[in-house]
Amino acid sequence: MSRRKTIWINLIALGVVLTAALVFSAMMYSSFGASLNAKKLSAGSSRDRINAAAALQELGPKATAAVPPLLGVLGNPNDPSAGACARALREIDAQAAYEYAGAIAARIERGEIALTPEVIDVFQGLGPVAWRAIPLLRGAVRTRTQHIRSLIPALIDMGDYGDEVLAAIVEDSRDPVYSTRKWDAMLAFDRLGARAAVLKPELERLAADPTPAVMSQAKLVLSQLARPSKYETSGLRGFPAQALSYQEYALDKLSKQGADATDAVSDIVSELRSRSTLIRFTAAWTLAHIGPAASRALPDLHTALTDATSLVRDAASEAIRAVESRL
Amino acid sequence: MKRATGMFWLIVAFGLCVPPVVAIGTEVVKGTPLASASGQWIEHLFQPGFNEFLLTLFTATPFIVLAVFSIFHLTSENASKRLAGVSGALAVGAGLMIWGLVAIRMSHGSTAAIGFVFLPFEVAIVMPVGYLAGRLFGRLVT
Repeated sequence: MSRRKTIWINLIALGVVLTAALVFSAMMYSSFGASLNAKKLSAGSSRDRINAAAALQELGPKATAAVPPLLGVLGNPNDPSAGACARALREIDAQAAYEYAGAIAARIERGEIALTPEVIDVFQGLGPVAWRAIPLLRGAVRTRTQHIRSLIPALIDMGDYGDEVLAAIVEDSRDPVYSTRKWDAMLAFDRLGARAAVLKPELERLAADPTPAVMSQAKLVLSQLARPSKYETSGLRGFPAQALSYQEYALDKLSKQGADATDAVSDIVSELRSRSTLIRFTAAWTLAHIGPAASRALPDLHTALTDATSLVRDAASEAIRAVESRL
Repeated sequence: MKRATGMFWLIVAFGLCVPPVVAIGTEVVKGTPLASASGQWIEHLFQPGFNEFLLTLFTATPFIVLAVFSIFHLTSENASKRLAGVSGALAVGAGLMIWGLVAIRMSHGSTAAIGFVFLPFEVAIVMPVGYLAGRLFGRLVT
C-alpha cells in the first residue's frame, strides 16, 4: 500500500470515529437525550429520576417530550425526586409548571395532601412560577413547630421578601447555639440579595458572633451589600443578550433590588417579548417587585395581558397592580 | 507502514482511554468499588455538571493531534529514528496528562475542575519537548 493511501485511510477512519462521537453527543443533548431521560423517569430508581430530571432541566424547552412523565412523578409530590422534577418542569414548560403549582396548592387546601418538607421542596423547585402559593407557605412559617430547612429558601425563591419571612430569618439567626437553624438563617441572608439591606443591624450583630462560620457569613453578606448596585456598572448590564439561564438569574437578582433596579427597566421590558415563556413571566414578576418605580413599563405590561399563556398574563396583571399601587 | 498505522491507533486509543481510566481509578482509590465507579462514570457521560463524554474528547485532543502528526511523520524515511521522537512525545504527554488528571480528580478544591480547560494545552506544549528528548535518547542508545 502506498504511503499516501495509508495516510488517507487512517485519517478518514479517525474522522469517521470522531464525527460519530460528536454526532452521538449532539443527539444526547437534544430531544433524543430527552426521550431517554424521560424513560428513566418512569422506570428508574429515585436516584435515576433525580439524575434524569437534572439532565432534562439542562435541556430546557428542547425536552418537551418529558413533560408528561415529569407530571407523572409530580403526581406524588412526596416522591424523593419531586423537587428535582419540579425544577426541570419549570425550565421545560413554565406554563405546565404554573398549572401544576395551582393544582398542588388546591390539593393542600382541600386537605388531600400535607405540606411536608418534600412538598415544600417541590414549591422551591417551581420557584417564582408558584408565586400564588406564597400565602400557603407563609402560613407554615407562622405555625412551624420545628425547623424545615427548605421553607424559608422556598419562600425567597418564590419571591416573598415580606416582613414575615425577614422576621423568621432574624428569629432563626438568634438561636443561642450554633445549629442547622442558625446556619440556614445565615444562608437565607445571602439568598435575600439586596433585600437583606434592611437587616443590616442584625448582620452587624452576627458579624461579632463567636462562631467563625456565622461571623464570616455575616461579613460576606455585609460586604456584598456594601457594593454599589448600579445597573449600568454591574455585571448584569445587557443581560437580555446572554444565555437564558443567565437572563433568569439576572431577573431574579434585579427583583431583589426592588426600586433600586429602575435603571434596568428598559432591559426588563425587552424581556417581555422573549420567545421563552419563563423569561417573559420572570420579567413581569421582576417588574412587580420593582413596583411604582417601573411605571414606564406599564404600556408593555398591558400588551403582556394578551400573552398566549395564562402564566404571563397573570404575572402581568399582578405587575400592573403593583406598579399602579402607589402611583 | 504497519508500524506507523499501529502507532497512530495506539496514540488515539491511549488519548481516549486515559480520562476514563483515571476517572474510575481515582474513585476506586477514594474507596468506591470498581463496578460502582465504572457505573458512576457511565451515568455521568452526559450528566450536567459532569459531561464525561465531552470531557474525554476534549482531553484526548493533543493525542489526536500527535496521532495525525505521527502518521505523516512515520510513513516517510528515517522512520525508526522518528519513532523514538514520537514515543518520547507520547510518554511525556501521557505523564503530564495522567498527573494532571489525577491531581484534578483528587483535589478537594472547588475550582480544581478549571484544570480540565488548561491541561490539554499544557500537554500539547510539552509534547514537542518530549519529541526532542525522544530523538536525543534514540541517538544516544543507537
